[in-house]
Order: sequence, then structure tokens, then C-alpha cells
Amino acid sequence: MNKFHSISSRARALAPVSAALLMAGFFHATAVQAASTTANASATVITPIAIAKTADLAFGSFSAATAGTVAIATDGTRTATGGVLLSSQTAGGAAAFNVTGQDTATYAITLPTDSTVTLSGPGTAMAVDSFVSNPSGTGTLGATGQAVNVGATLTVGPAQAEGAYTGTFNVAVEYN
Amino acid sequence: MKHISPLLLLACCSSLASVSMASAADLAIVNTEPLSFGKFAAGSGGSVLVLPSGARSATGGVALLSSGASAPARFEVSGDPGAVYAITVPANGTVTLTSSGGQTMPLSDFSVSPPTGQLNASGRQSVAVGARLTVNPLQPSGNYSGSFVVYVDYN
Repeated sequence: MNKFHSISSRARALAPVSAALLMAGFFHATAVQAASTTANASATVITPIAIAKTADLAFGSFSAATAGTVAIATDGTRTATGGVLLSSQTAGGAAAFNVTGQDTATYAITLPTDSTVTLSGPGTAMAVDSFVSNPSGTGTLGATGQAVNVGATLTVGPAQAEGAYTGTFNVAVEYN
Repeated sequence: MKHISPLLLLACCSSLASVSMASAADLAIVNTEPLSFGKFAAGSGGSVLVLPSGARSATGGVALLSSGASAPARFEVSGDPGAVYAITVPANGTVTLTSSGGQTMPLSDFSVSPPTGQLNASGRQSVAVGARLTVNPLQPSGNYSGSFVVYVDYN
């Protein structure tokens, strides 16, 4: 009778230990089902690009017994073809612009296309075509921007009336 | 038997415990590359979009500078081989980039590739995240930065 009682009391003492083992087993079986992490994000807003004219395009003074052309190169050199004779009275020169913006940034230069610019005056309007620039096509800004020179070719008619002829044209710049 | 050895009871129960222990791997996600929108001019305002593929485009008057490299954020997901999981990204209007001067630009349209993935035989997969950055007209120039949280769940 004593032995019976001692056995049953031992069994009750053991039961809580075995239950704890089972619970520990289930915790190890549960893996992490969700997770998260943080990532950084960044952006750099650069100085806007701007262009300002510093010199007009000038074809200078010339006479035209017959039709011809006057061309201004980006360095300001003036040449004539056909019946045009250049006069030193007014030498003319290339247009100049100052482009400013973010240091080291590159940009595209857009010049007028042919047949879009004319000079008006006393006689028939004269076409200005073959625009060229230096730098050509694209440029790179420095700490103080970049200078852009623009030249073009003026077509003079066979009986072009004497006098002053004027016009305007646009140059556009855009970051690329 | 009336004499039940305490050791037998322990052996029985511990073997039950080892059967219920499955070898499931913890799901984890690590950020390996930050999200970068690169360099651009604000112009008349608009947005810059960076896709998980890495492609960058601008809307409105924003002018992108090609030399200012952009890139999507990248993450490494790890867990059970073959497991299917889902990525959760921030909702619109919850993340902003801020400059040292306190100016802000909000992020929206977060996109993930792949949106629901499956871990490979080694229990890993790479994920890319892109987003859209809204730029105000005349947004003050400068460096802007911020951070965002990405969640991953087993499906």
C-alpha cells in the first residue's frame, strides 16, 4: 500500500516536466514569417540652366552688284561669295551668349533651322541660314558657365535695295 | 507496469518534441542598394520616375542630367527554398526626401519587381524597388535624402 502511493506521487511529479518539453519543441518549429528593412533614397536638384546674349550677329556693311552671300564664322571671320563685296566700314561679328547652370553639367544647343530666319529692311527680305555654333551641338558648363558663339550665312538678292536690314533668332539650351 | 521508470517517460516525450520541430528557415530581407533619382533640373516642375528595371524618365518640365546616375533600390530576400512571398512597399504620400534647407519632395507609385516572388533552391531571391519623385517648379537646388521601409511576408 505504501509502495502504491509512492508510485502515483512520482508519476504526478513527472507529468509537468514532460509537458514543458513538448511546448519547447513547438516553439523551435515556428520560423519567422515576416520581416522588414529600411532603404535610403536620394536625389540631387541642380541649378537651372540659363542663357543670356552678350553680342548680336552682325553681317556688317557690303555692296552687292549681283546676288551672293555673306558668311560669319563662329570666330567672327567674314567671307563673301558671288557679287557681294565686303566693306570695312562695319566689319560685323559673330553672336555670343553666356550659358550658366550646374558646374560640370552637359547641355544641348539648338540653333534655328534653315528657312526660319530673315532680315527685313528697305528691300526684299534676306534669308539667314546655315547657323553654326562653337561649341557645336553640346557643351559642358564650368564653374562660371560657358560662352557660345554663333555664326550664319546671309543670302543677298540680285538687286538688293540699299539700307539697314534687321531680324531676330533664338538659341535654346537644355541639360542633357 | 506499476514501476514506470521516470527515464522512460522523459525519452517518450522528448522524441515527440523532435518530430514537431520542422526545419523552417527564418524569412529575412536585407537592403543592398539605395534608391537614387540622380541629378536633374526642376524647370517648370514635374516628376522623375525610376523603375525597378533601372530605367529613368521625367515628366513635365524636369530636365534629367545623364551624368547623374540613378538606380532602383535592391534587396535580398532569404528563407525557405521554393517559398512564395510578397513584398509590401510604402503607400503614396508616406515618404519624402528632404534637403539640408528643409525643402521636401514626396515619393509615390512605389513599384516592385518581382511583385510576388518565389525563393530559389538556395532560399534566396533579389528584388528591385522603384518609385516616382514629384518635383515642384523652382524646387530649390541641393541634395535631398530620405528613407523608406519594405516588408516581406510568406504567402
